Amino acid sequence: MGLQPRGVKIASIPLATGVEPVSPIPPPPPPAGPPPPGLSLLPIIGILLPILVAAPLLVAPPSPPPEAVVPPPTPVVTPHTPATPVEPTVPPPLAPPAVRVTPVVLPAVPRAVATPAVRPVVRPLAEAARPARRPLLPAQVLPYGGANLWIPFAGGIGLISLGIGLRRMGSTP
Amino acid sequence: MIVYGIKDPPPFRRVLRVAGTLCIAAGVVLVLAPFGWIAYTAMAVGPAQTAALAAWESAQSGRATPADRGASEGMVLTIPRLELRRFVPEGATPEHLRTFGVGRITWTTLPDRPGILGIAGHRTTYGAPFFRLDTLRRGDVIFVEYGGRRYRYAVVDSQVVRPEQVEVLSTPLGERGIALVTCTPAYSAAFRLVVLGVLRGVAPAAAP
Repeated sequence: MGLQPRGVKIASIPLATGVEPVSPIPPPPPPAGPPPPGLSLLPIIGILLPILVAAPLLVAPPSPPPEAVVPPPTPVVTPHTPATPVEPTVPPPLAPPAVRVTPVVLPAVPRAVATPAVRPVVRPLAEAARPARRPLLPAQVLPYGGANLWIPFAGGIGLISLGIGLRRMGSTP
Repeated sequence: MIVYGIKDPPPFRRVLRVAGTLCIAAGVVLVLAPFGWIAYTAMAVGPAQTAALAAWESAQSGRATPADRGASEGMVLTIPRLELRRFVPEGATPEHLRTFGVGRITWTTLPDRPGILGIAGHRTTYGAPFFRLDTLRRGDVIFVEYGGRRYRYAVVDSQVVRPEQVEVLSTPLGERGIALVTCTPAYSAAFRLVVLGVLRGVAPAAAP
């Protein structure tokens, strides 16, 4: 009479038969179906397009720096001062431009006394008689008091979106 | 060790992933750059403004040191609604705007002469003195202390113009006013916001 083991025999399964001693076979590739839904270039386009459209509207045209532009000399129209032959050849001291100078009226002298060969310098006296020169406004721009900070911000948002899209494209099987 | 089930991605996908990572990194830098720029320029302007105001007040009180002499050439702008008090140097040059945030437009007149006094200031950077300039309303008071006098202006109008529309600073002869100029919209330099005021009174400057 054989020895009967106590307890319950659970199973006796030969484990090594018909199984290769390697890791499980990788699962077969999924059946070819429709291509994966679009990698979402639409969000990228949706972000970049408004930026590109709005850029020409928000960016100011290139303007010279404020006050770096010296206004061109004002063409002040003054009545021509006839050259009086008896005016002194040595010009009088030039008054500061802001000071209003009363034009000097010299007494008339008979033409026969004058010496027409010498043409006196009349410019200082004429300039002294001019009113104070006022700069022209149209040659300038209102000073630059801000910064186009929205450009790097919007560009950064666009780059982040683009980067996310590229990473998704790179990780999609 | 061979691991099944995990395959290296194709080279072009790796390139895409690396490029995407670089784009994200660059984008983050670009997004943060404006905030850093605002903070940096504010820190640069603050001490300069404080020192200039102190020098100007010393010059006005007669206790000026030789180093404070230059401060007497400027003026001080005070806008109670904006809780703003700034030293305004002569000339709204880029250098002055970077140093003080504001500057007087030199081709405009001084407060004691007929015409419009133009003062330009930064909207968002360099301390952003005029950031809330668009909140000024008709009747708001603007003070300018210049040459020992305190000029009181009242806001009458506000306009948005293009940078080349300098005619907004012209005024009929005999009228004395002020124009505060800054960029608009905020964070953009496309247009200029001009707040116009007229002179309402002149009084001796109060002792600082």
